[in-house]
Amino acid sequence: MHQRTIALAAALLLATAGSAHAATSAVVYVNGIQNTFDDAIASLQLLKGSLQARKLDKGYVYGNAYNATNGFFADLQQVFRQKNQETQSARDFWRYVDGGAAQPGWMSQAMVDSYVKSFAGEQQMTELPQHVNMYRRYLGEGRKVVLVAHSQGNLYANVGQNLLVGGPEKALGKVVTVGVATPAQYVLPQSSYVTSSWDQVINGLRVVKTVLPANASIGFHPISDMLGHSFAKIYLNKDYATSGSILQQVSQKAG
Amino acid sequence: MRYLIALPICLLLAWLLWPDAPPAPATGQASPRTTQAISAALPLPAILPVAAPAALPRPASQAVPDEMQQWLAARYGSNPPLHQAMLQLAAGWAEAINEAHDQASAHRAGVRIARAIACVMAPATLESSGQDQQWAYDQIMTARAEMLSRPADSDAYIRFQGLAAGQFFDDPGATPCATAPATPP
Repeated sequence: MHQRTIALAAALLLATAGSAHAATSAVVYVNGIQNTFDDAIASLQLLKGSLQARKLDKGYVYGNAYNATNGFFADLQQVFRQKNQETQSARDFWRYVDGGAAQPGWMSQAMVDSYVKSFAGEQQMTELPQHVNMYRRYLGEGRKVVLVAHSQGNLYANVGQNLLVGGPEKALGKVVTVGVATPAQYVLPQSSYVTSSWDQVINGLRVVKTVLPANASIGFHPISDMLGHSFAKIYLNKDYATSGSILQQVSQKAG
Repeated sequence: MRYLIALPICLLLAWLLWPDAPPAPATGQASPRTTQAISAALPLPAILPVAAPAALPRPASQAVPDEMQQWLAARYGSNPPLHQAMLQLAAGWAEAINEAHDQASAHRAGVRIARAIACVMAPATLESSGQDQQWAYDQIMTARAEMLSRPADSDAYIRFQGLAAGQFFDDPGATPCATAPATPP
């Protein structure tokens, strides 16, 4: 009898809670091809920590939609080995890639070239089923999905968003993107983006392809990142104005 | 309005369906059978590995090269929480290098790495060093470069990243450091 009373109270509590609170939003980090796995994971933690530090996190759930590297690192490593035949240190390669050591000019150029090369053929972006399924699951739980996409991740975010907005989910306004350093030509309604005019990767791409115009100017910070493109070291660096702008946009969209 | 209908139905169902079972003995932990039953009942997606009691992570020191362990000890030895977290992370990298042969094994290694990164960047871990997440980010990248100093390991890690691509990794949540304790060498 006592157990029945407890069950009754629990059911009452659950039913009341369920009716009073909608599920919180899901914030998903969608990386670009030049982000290593660790960089992508750490970038999400940085985003989460920054939202919490500014008290903008309203109990969101978080996830990483990890994207294809399209041979970016293998290509870059080949250039590195060719240029660095006498002192082949894989350690240096990763330091350059992660910005832990200032890259020599040829390395920076190789990174921009590799990035531009990956778009040169105007390759068709395909959906990533596991990512879209996860977005569907969030929607099914009554969550809004905010994709924080960096670099090439914006193209994947657009594909996923188009599928869910145009498909049976009719998720217009329920799946939105905050694009960062975007190489895309458009953002969907209710989405937004931040691209620095000092971003050398996007500027390099702009020479060969139409991309959204830069809408932020934070100056040249070679010690943080020579290319001005890193999500963690440039765009979400708390010392630069883009950080506050990105966090506000995520918070406003996530509600 | 809907909850006005749902509420009485919930109450009625709870009342009718609650079994008159004898009280369970008080224990501090769920039994393995209970854990399995919960796992079976929850609609977990295929990408999420269901942790079984027998599949606890191996000690972090296992498979981490001696020189890397020494490098971590020299750098973080005076800060046990951070040292422990970095050791867990190095174990994740070692798994990615040595054991990621297909998408499923890459996902397992990725989950392990993600959990360790979240632990390194957790406020509780950083509190002990008085540093912020940006600093932790730099430490992670520096340590990863050290871990991949051998070209063969570097190649293996690039392969792991290819296998992990297209997969989804959940945030480990509020208690990322709750992993099996690392055994110092």
